[in-house]
Amino acid sequence: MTPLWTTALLGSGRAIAMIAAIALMLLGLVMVAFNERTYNDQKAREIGVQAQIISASVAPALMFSDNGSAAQYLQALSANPGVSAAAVYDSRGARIATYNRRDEPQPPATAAVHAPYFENSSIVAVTPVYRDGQVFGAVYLRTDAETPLRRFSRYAGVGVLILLAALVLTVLGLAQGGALAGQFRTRGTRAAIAAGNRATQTRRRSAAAESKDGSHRPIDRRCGA
Amino acid sequence: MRFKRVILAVMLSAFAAAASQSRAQTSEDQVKATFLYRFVSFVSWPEGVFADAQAPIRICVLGAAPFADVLTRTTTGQRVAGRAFEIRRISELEAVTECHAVYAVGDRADAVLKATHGAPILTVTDGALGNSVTRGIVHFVTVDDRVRFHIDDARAAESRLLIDPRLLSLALSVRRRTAS
Repeated sequence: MTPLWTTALLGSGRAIAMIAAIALMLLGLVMVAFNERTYNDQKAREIGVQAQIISASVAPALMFSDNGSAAQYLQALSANPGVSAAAVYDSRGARIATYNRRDEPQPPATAAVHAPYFENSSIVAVTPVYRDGQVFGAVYLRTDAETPLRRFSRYAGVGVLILLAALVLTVLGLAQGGALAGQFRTRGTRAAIAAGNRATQTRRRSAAAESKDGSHRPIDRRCGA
Repeated sequence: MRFKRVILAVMLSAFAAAASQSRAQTSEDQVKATFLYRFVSFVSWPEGVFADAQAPIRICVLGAAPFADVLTRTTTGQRVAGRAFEIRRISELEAVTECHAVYAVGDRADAVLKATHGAPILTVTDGALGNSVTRGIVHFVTVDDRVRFHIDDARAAESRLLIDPRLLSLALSVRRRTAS
């Protein structure tokens, strides 16, 4: 029969394995959330910087009312397939140059300066165009963000790894619990065998002593009983 | 009586045309004045030209008094690289050498260019007001009712001035400096 404490140990081993697996999965979720946040921040920063570069480039065109040059600059953005739309607005807010990739909607007719933000599957930034402390207009930039499917595929590999690790932990925990229980059972059996052996030896010694002393001892024993 | 009416109508028309032309000229001067002070933002002068980091940018105007007034109004309160503007109307060629930029039109534009040759002075001429052959480092022209400009970067190099390539890209034409 398995002692109670062995059963408890077996149970606690399983529990530890389960807790470790759950902790691992939670850690995985935290990692995904952290990566997602970091990715979004990094992407927003990138778009902000890109918008600032465009802003610095079109500043002279705005300063010298050269709409054609601003438009030419925006057309050059077609070399970047990630840019879906862009526009330049003058100091009165009027759109003076625009670019949009095929099948993409045009930039809005007016746009207020705004820090980079996510809009559906795009990231949008509206940056002021300024020089020598004077604002000459604004630049609107819309670029593609990662689609949900691509994001899922990015995290799928990590998710599978975490699940596998959790599974291995669970199996290891269960196996270790089983092994411990077996070990305790073996110890118990050995102890019982040793006790049996000791009892047999004692009986043998008693029998030998009786054969030397004759029948007094059994009589004494009976008298004593 | 009828003759008087005709005369009056002709006079009114002439007055209206003159007023319209004056407004157009003022507007064009306003654009040129704005462009002129903004050019400064894209030009680098050699070291030692300015007395200190706060020394104002002195723009001189020769031969275009109304423009000097417009330029003064336009540049009031404006700063480029922390420097304010000082607009000076000059009549003597000798005074040109004290300027960082000079707007010269009319017959004396050629003399100004000779007087400033090699000096770190941004010379600006105007094709609409005078000899279109005489061209400073920046030369204004009007194309399709819009003020545009040509840039002589080779002359800028002779004057030890450095012009931002972004400004060069907006010019109708650029006479390139020779590679040193």
